[in-house]
Amino acid sequence: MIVFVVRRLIETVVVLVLVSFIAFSLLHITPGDPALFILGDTATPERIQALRQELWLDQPLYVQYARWATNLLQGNLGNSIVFRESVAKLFAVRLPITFHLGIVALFLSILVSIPAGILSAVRRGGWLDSIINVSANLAMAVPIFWLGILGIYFFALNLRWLPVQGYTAPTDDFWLSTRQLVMPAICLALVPLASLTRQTRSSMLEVIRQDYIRTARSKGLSEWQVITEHALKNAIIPVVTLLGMQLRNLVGGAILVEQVFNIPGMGRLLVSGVFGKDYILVQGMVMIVGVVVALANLAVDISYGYIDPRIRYDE
Amino acid sequence: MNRSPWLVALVVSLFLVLIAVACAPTPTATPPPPTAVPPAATKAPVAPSAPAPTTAPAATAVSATKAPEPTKAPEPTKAPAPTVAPTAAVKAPTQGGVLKISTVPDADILGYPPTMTKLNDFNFAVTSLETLITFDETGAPVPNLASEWKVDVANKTITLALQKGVKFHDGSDFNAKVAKWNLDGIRTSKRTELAAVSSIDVVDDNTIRLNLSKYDSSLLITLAGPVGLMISQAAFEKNGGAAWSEKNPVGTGPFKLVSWQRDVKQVYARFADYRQKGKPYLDGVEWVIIADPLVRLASFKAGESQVTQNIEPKDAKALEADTKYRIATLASALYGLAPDGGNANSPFAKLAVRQAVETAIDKQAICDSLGYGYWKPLYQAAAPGSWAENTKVVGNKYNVTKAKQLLTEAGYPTGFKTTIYTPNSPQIIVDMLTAVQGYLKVVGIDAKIEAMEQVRYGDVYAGKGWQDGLAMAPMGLSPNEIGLLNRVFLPGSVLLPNALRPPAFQQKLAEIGAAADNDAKQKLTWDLQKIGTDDNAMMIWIHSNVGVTAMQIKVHNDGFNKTIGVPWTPAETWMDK
Repeated sequence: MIVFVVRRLIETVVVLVLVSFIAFSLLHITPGDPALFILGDTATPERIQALRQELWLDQPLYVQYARWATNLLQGNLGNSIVFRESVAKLFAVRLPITFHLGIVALFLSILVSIPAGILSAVRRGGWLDSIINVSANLAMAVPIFWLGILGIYFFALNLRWLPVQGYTAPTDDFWLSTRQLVMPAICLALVPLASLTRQTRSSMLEVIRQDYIRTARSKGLSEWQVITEHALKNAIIPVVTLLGMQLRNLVGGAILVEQVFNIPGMGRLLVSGVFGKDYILVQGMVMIVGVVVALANLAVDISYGYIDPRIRYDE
Repeated sequence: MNRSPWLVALVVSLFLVLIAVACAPTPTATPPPPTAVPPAATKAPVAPSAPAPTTAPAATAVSATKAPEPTKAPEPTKAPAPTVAPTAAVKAPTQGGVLKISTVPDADILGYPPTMTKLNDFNFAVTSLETLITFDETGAPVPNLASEWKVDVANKTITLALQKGVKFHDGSDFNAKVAKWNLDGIRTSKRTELAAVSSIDVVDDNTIRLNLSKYDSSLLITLAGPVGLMISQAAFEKNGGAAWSEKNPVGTGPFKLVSWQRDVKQVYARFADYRQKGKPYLDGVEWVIIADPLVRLASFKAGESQVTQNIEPKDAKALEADTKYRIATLASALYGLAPDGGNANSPFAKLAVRQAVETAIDKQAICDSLGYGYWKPLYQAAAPGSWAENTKVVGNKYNVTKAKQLLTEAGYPTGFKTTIYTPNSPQIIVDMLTAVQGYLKVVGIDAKIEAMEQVRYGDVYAGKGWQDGLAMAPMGLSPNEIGLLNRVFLPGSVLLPNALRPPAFQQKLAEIGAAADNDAKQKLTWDLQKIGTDDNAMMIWIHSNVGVTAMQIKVHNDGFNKTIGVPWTPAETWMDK
């Protein structure tokens, strides 16, 4: 197991270096000068030159990359061009917000999708199965931003049940925080929820046809015991794999959801960084998101060993 | 995986209860019922007023109106402006409340004028900082931190008397030494606004004198903008300088900054030692940044903010019909297309082509369909009805036959292909250009729209420029109207690098800068309009844009969209309980 983890960590580092280099190059290849963006109408040749020097934009690309990479190795993510603040400090404020939103969405999607997938499989061909299937397909197809706007219209503007936008830390006001998170979390959870439901159903259908399930039933076990203790345990492995992949989708979805609901998380920060051509900020985000996703995938891989004792990485 | 069924059921139930409880309505979300105040009459797009002749800098020294006494008791509501509901005038201001304003974009710099490069920053900054001079409702310069001034054109000096007994938020004194330090900070930075000031003398504790290398008629107006904002020297020096001050405004204004989370919100609290006793009336101000226009509007309608800015004309029209809200509009920018007339090989190097393009566009139809009556068609570099507008300018009015004829004269009888470069937001600009594209197609000009992110458009607008095409050029209106024309068209500018710059136009701009009085300035500006439009068709003007702000009717004396150069009046603003 240790060898496996170390090997995966080394692979992750290589991937992150490559990703950072590609992101850095792409940001610099696209036209647009952050100095001009910052100065706006007050740009004069002297001011442009001074700002470009200050931001190291007058240096060759490899020098800029080397400087950024050196700082990173020293634990310094640099200063954001647009926000004029330490990138690490920005992350410290924004990351917990996206994490909060992501965790609630993930919890929600797991909580709904696995029982729904099981029910759908167990009642295969019935009306419940049809409803769950159609709902899952619809959820996969609905654009998040559209659903968000629709939710705002009905639940915030018409019914006035929920706030339109914003984020409050649960430690500041738990009640307001919960109300503000309901719509964004549902929107963000929808796609993973649908995927996980479909995957759970499909895995369960495969497992419940197996001989050992028939044996379990013939032993007189209750249907609940057969499903939860025998079928689900084996059906869950592909679901866990998919769950790891959905983490990436959650990060991507957070960009949209945070825009729609005006949540000041990493998604909104990334949008500001990209539009402002703030390559230092975007680079930092790429690294952070890369690390989070890589670690999540690693956690999924490790969890296989615990879910299914047949899987042993060091054998 | 050996979990008890009841445990799973419990978790599910708990979650469902949480959702149900969270969805319960709360009283705070309910909008306030309409009060007895009748619906406010919407102000028509207002053009900035000409500087009043009585307050104009004359050839000999003149004094400006004196400032109100610092210890003056809270004044009753000012005479109602067109946008203020009539009954507001008789109501006494109410103390208390936190005003929430939703807007976009956020400021870059809040507290350090030398690096405050965007006009948008100034809109926020006046919440906590004050300028030396400001404008009254007619657009005339009036005292603010400077109580009076004398302009001596012959000796090229401006002497400013400063308010006495004024404190900064950190408790330090505002005096002549601090004012000089502030203005010297601007002069030694790379800003050009005070280029005409050769030195600043401290005459006494409350008087400074600006010695000019050449007379600049726009200097007083400049001191009413970001350049004239005063910050605490003591706070600047104590906290390590510019980097700290940029994010921490310490001024003499009515509100102190409590916190600023960039792109999220700015929170301000009442400054108890504000120089006008009894003011401000509000306990605090919160600027909430909401990027999406739909969400911003929904948030406002749901009562999450009392004021919202940058509303699109279509939405403003809908709000106008609702008695719960009041709309304030003000001409904010001139929207036009800059042809690359400066490139000798471009079709736009020919006057007839530039005239043909402008003549092909039905600006009135665009204003009616997209501007919902808020936009006005534009034919010269001045807001319609403003002092800078020359009514004798013929302009290039909509006439398809004439446009085709001009193209034939220019050697393009079947038209040509071109590109329109524009930022991709706000969407309404792209929509407007799509309409322009349709009109150009009618006369044979096949224009492709190249909509790009702001940062990329920066390269077109102020960097490498563009070739064989038209560049979208929004020109923000300043109190002296031609401020941005100066920045764009005077020699040495990096803005719109491929635009046509006729020497006669540049010469006239320089003459306007040196004009001794307003009459001379106005006459020269009218000449400038003729040179720019009738003689050269330098720009393809489309429409005069307006800034639209909506507020709940319980908000009074806010000053939003009342005067160009005065973003709002935080010290005067109050709300019904």
